[in-house]
Amino acid sequence: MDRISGLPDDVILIILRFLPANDAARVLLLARRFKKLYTIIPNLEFDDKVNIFQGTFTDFVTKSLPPLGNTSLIRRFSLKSQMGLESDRVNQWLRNVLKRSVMDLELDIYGGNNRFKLPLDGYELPLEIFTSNTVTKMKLGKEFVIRALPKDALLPSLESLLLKRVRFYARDDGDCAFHAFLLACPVLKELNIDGMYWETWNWSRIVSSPSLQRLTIRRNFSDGFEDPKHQSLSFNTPNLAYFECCDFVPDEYPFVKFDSLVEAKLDLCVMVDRKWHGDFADDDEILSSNPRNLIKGLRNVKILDLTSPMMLETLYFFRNAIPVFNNLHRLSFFTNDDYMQVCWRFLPLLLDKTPNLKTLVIKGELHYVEGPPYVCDCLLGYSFLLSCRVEVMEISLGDHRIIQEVEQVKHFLGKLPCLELLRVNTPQWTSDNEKLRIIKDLRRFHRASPKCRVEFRWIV
Amino acid sequence: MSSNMIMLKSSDGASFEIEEAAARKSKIIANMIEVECVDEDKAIPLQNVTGNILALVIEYCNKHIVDDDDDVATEEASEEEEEAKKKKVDDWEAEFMNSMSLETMFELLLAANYLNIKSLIDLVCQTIANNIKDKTPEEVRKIFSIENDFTPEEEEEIRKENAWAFG
Repeated sequence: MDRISGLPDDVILIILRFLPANDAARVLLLARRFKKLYTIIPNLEFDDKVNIFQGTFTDFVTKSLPPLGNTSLIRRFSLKSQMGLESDRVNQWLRNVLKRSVMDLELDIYGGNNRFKLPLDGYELPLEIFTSNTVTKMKLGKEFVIRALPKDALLPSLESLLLKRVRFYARDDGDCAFHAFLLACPVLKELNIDGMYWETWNWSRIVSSPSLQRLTIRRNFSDGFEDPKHQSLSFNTPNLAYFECCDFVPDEYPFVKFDSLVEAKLDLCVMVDRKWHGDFADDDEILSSNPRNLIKGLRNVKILDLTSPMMLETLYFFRNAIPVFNNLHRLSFFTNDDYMQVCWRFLPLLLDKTPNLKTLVIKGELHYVEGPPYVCDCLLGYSFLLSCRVEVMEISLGDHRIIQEVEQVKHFLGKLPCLELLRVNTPQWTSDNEKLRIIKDLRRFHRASPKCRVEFRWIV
Repeated sequence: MSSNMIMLKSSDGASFEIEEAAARKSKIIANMIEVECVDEDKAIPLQNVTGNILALVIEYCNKHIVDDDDDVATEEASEEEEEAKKKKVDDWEAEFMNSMSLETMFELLLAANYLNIKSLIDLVCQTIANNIKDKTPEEVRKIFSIENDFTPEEEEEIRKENAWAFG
């Protein structure tokens, strides 16, 4: 018999503990010796809103999990609960599952430590969660606090981590739990922090990971921001390719290392006096936010998506920080909707810094003024389009102000010298007469680029 | 600091002197020392471990007893020192495992299992696991000379049952 098959059963099972479930599944296929030893449960999902069970949810989960000593492995474990669950029970389950080669771990329960709550006495994760050899994908949430990691914390397989309204705290001796967490994830590729209210954390204020490729940071603006202290955020992520950020801008970004950045999707909102009053800042207000280093750090991006009118204003306020985007070939931005109206004064400034732009996508309404000639002063008669090398442009029409909007298109067609395709999205529900008129108008307009096609899409 | 030395005797008759503290890494030996009052000038016979493997076990135990001592002694060691020390042990372990053949590795695992040295069992199992990770069943069979005793139909059946792993 070969050496590995000759090992005692319990020793083979220890080897399996170091293997993620998909490798364990391949071991099953080696020979009968292994097939007899264990089975793999591909998916164990518990959700107190979805599952049908008798008695309590806790009893249901306890009974459904393989008992200790049983040799079933588990590929994916997901626990979701709307109600508060007893911490000790949850942690018993997690410890059980973590011994079973679990690769995909999802925890969506209420931890009872929301962002306003002090002292912190809600749910705490079991330390075993920070020493799993096998977990490659982890989702943790919500409203709990991570204060300390064990000294031997190491998640050598973890590639994707989602944190939902989790807060980080430093230990009394000053060790930042967030920093320690990232340090314990040497192959982390994707980090998604949903509900990153960093002003309520106690941490090093640095997102640092040499392996990280995708980073998403999100918060809900309507939750507001009110923190009198000086605030900063730094990024030491030299291999980051994708950065998505929906956040308030702190007083500074002291250090931004985005050398490999390819794509950025941004919604950054500036504040006055470290507060946000729910609207755009006025031009004469003194901003406490300063995104200069972050904006400069974007210089290598190829794709840039500005996802809100607030972001457009932020760029305008810090126009002097806009670098020359030599690599940028696709720019999209979201402009006015019914709630937020903003001038396009950022646009001439930004297009001036994008010498190699090929595709321009405008989401939301076009910018206009009510009466003839319908072009806002901020756009300087669209003269900046004359030197713009854009080849593909995509816009949406069909608001109630079609005349004014169509008038803007006249400038796009009449001024962009390299335009090859103008794609016009119009809502399906636009009346047939209206559709015909749009088509007729756009056909009639002079085109600076003779080869330009106009394509209409009626979207639902 | 003087410490108790004890003698271990391998199945092929080789004797080894080892600090008691190091030998206690083995639960079996620790138990013998406590229960059976080991005679100071008499060697503990280990019937299932050959001399060359026992030498490796002792090398491992000696290396790790020092680290355990340090843990207790320097409570206030700075984080950098801790990290540096941990890295040193990790590097030593990697080198230690790298230096031996697969055959020796399995002998060592069986010895660690017999002597009940948990951290050494884990270390060898992890190393074996690393040899399995991200490889196809065919590759793993080749590395460990495992004979495939499934019929093609059975193999197909298992592949189907665990289709998610063979994407």
